[in-house]
Amino acid sequence: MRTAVAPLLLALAAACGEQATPRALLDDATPQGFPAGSLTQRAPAENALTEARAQLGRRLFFDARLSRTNDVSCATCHQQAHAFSDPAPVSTGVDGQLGQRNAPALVNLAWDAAFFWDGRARSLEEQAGMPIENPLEMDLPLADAVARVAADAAYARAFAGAYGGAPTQETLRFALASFVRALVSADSAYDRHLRGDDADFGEDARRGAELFFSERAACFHCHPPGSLTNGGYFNNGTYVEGGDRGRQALTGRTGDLGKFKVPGLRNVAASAPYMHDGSLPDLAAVVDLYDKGGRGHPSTDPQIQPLGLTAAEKADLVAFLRALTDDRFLTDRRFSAP
Amino acid sequence: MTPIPRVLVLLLATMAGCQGSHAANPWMTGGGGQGGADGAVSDGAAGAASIDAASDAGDIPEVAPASCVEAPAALHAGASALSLPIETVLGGKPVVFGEPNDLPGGGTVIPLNFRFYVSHVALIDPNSARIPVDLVDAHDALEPYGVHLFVDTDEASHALRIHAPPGSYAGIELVLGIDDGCNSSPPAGKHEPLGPDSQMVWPMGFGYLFLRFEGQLAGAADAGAPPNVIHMGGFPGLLFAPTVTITGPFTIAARVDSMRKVRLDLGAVFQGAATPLAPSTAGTSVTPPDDPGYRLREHAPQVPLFTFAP
Repeated sequence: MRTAVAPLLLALAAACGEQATPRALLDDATPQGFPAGSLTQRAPAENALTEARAQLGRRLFFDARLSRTNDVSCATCHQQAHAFSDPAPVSTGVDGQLGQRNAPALVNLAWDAAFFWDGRARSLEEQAGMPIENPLEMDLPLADAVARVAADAAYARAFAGAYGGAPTQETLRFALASFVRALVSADSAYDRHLRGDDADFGEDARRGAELFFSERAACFHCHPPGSLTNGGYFNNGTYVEGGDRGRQALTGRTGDLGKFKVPGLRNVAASAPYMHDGSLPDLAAVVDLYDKGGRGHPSTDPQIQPLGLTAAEKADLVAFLRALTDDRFLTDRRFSAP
Repeated sequence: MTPIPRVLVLLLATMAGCQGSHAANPWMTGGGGQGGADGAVSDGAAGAASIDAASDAGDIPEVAPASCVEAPAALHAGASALSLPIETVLGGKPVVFGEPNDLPGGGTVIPLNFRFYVSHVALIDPNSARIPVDLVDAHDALEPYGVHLFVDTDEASHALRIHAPPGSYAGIELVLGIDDGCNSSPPAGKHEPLGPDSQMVWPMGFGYLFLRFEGQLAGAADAGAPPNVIHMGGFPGLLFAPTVTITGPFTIAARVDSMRKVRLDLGAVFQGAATPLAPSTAGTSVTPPDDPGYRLREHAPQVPLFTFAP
């Protein structure tokens, strides 16, 4: 009798222990085929990644007090169910103002080297403060954001624990960056396929992947295997005369007209609409645009050419893009509002 | 030299996707091409796999497990340093990346994306002996994997730097690309410059690109236009990066940094990429792929891509 009870008691104790201890926000999951460096290794020395910092950043991410009007948080425009993007073409900031570009998905950014569609931020730490201060987004000077946070005793304790002192503009940005850095998606059907598990990688996705990584569709020229982004800037045919100049507005270079940063594609099926302007409503529209060779502006990259895809091939490409969805990431409570 | 099996050519043909190959082109030297007259593959600097290893059954040949050492051992610790700033020119004038540059045949080209790997640098002494040297960065640290990546938008990458014994030399030899060990190993988990964000990663099994060029042409007549997309790579175990030579005397001083300016002629790149290759005449009657990248790889050892600046 005793020998039967003991394992049962141990199992019950283990279950109780699991419920009492929430799962850490940081883990060792690394998407397949990404550049070297674990999640913590990718963090800069001045903002080493810790659980405390990521959790603090999570609270700030969902806190609307970081906007002038107290009703817009980072999560307002970066919604987890949409891979931390916005289901609207452009986002709505304070006072109902519309932004200028589609809110990009926040997925696996620990392995990116530049941020925003035009790459103007060279680190997550640099990026984190910009939407807070942007008049169209949250419209709150960082100094004011810090003052609001510092007045909250719970935040004061959390900052002391994470950064050893009272909140500053720097540590506020650092904490947000730590949370965004922790948003790792590594369990899509494609990831499992790369690990040798094809249980959820159907024939249509497999045909789509073959086409995606062939010179016929040539998607890999910008979206290589594994990471699905080469981190470069290309004019993929979405630019139209008089439209958003993209990276050229930053560099002034003639050849940068209409160039935007190549996004990663994990969870792309959840982050509609697409492109820098949110002008493409669904994945079929994306495939159609590339099939046509873009919108025809002379600045379009020469690699963007009409593809002559059949309806079946288009469907296969969409199936592959859907296989990049990591349902666990989209619902993981570690990344949800605290 | 062993001719290219048909199946391999077909495989390579599927890799071709470049635009802009034109007939009657001033970039061409003539119908016969400059090298590889029989369509055969010239060996690069590294890799000893024979073309015969290609399977006629159509399978991608097995490649021996490759090594690609991230931290190579120094060959010349404490040696003298030689900087080799690279100036890219076209029609004798410095190229301005991202801006229109005059084409000698008329019209303009805007280089949108231009990058290439350099590895296995060796000095050529007066007796034509090759002395391998260390590729280092601006801080004199060994370049990871012994590889340097030139990137148009990164001016800091527009110079090679080597550690070498002091002395007088007659030239420099380098691999325009990476060796087969690195080309055969997956990019996943690699650091710069071999990581996925190098923009040189090609689908699994095909290795890396060695040179990548995309440009925007304007006002260039079809007959005079260079290729606007050049993707030069190889094939693990079979097609290797070309070795190119820069000929000219120079001296590396002892205990003092030396410098020798190098010119990269974008016109020569276009020439190599536009010059057709002769069909194989070794019994297979297979025509090499009509691909600017493949042509450049074959012609690179012969065209004057790099010269010492006056």
